[in-house]
Amino acid sequence: MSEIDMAVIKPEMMKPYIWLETSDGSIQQVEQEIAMYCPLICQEIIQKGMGSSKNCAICLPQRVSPAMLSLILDYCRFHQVPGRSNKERKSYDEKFIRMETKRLCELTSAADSLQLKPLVDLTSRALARIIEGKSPEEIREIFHLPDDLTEEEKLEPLKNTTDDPRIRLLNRLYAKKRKELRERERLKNVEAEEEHADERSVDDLLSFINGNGDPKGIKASKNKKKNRRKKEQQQKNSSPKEASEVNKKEVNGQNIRHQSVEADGIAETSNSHTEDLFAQKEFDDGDDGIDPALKEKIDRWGYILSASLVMLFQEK
Amino acid sequence: MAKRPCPSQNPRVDNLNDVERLLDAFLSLSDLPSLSLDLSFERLLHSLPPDSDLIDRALKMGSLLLDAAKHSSRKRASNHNSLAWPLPPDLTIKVFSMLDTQSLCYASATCSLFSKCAKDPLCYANLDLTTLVPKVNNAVVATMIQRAGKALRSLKLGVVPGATTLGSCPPFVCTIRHSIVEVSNFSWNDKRSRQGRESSILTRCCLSPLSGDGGAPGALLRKLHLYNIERMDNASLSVALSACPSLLDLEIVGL
Repeated sequence: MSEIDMAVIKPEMMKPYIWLETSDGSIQQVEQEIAMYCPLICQEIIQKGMGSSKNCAICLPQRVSPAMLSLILDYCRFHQVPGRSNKERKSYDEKFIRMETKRLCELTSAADSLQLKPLVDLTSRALARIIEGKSPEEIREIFHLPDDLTEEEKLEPLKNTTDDPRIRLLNRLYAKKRKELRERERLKNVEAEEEHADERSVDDLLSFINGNGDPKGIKASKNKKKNRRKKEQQQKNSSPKEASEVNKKEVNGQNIRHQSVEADGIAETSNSHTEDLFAQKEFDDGDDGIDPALKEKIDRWGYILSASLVMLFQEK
Repeated sequence: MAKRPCPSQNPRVDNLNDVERLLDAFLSLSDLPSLSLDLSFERLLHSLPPDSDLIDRALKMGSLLLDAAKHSSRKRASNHNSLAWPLPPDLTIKVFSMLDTQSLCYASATCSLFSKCAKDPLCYANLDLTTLVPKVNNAVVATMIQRAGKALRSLKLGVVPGATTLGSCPPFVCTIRHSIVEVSNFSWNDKRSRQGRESSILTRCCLSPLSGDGGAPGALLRKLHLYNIERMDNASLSVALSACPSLLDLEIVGL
């Protein structure tokens, strides 16, 4: 039975109504005490005196569609009655939020625009429960969100990205330098010795860039780049080897210039060469497709470049 | 986009330069029902002298085109997401702040929209970095604490064999098909350490980020639980604790 029918049948119980206009332009009548449960509507009635007739209907925010409004009004109708126990309210809430995920999102949005905080909390928590414990692919499926991250971005969601314009400039120059190097390297072969000579200076620069004094952190991030490529292949074969190298690095923590890095560097690059062919096929690093040994060189160029630019900016 | 019988008849093409016109013509081949690119390529290859670098050029151009298309595809997905996702950023952040740390990481690997929202400090107020086997290292802890900043309220760290909530979550699926890991370089349930040579052990400096940034992260920390951090020593522990004046709940197991 609609509100109007109720008023006709029991005129002595006629309650004041107010008029609400939803996003699609349709106007409807709602019992005032129910609608007042929403702070926004309450504000409109009291402060601006709107809603008393069809002409001055309260315009609800755009996020409130008629379907959402009816859901919200159901919620308000239940909760605005003071005589309900907490248990009753809770079980009503549990049943209330059982709906399709998309509707739940829209409901959260609509409740937020009406400033109905209890409902916002309820729906947010429900959404959080949906997201909890799911893998990224599952989450994407549930919310129909196509993937728009690069493989690199997925690998390092913990990386601190900054909107610092200097960093962005560095990244752009880095990318340019990468392209140039790529062309150059296609003409000549990479020599293993070259990579070692630069090893020390790079570590210095890395400490400069990262701005922290923790050499372990530096080596961790540097080796992360080098080892990301190999991790899939060498995991089974060389986990004992890796463990010993890890220990070596821990021990030599404070000393940046030391032999073991070089030794590791030699071992790594020789490994990377023999497994280049193998690597080419599997390590399609998304956008890159640069072969691993080449990538090291590029990375180094990038660091040197970055460091010099950082120094430049800091002088200013 | 309407199918054109002949590219030159289309006035739109006049605005493009030569390369773009060629590209347009090449891509319209995809409409051909009888297309077999590999056969055409082989025939072309055989028609050329044997020392031609056609194969290398094809590899290069193919990869360039693929990269460009992937880039545009990602942009398209981003646009779609920004329109399709019904919640404004502050609500998204609110939802994320109710997630546990692991789910938060998974959510941020979903799409760039989520990733941006997941970086907000409010999401990192309650950090639970406990794992079944040693996996989380100093860098991870540092990043998380840095992201939390002033919003950090509780921190749980260390190795808790057996009784953690992570056991109830589905095992993380490692997709080897592209040798790319879907989630961060530390996986919560995977048995193999994905970090290669990187240490997955927490050292005694692991709590030093609490004192960093002028002590902001540690200042409002209420709860600190440390489990079985073998390398922790008294000195670093006391430094860390001195950075947390608001600490109400301290639990240290296995020091």
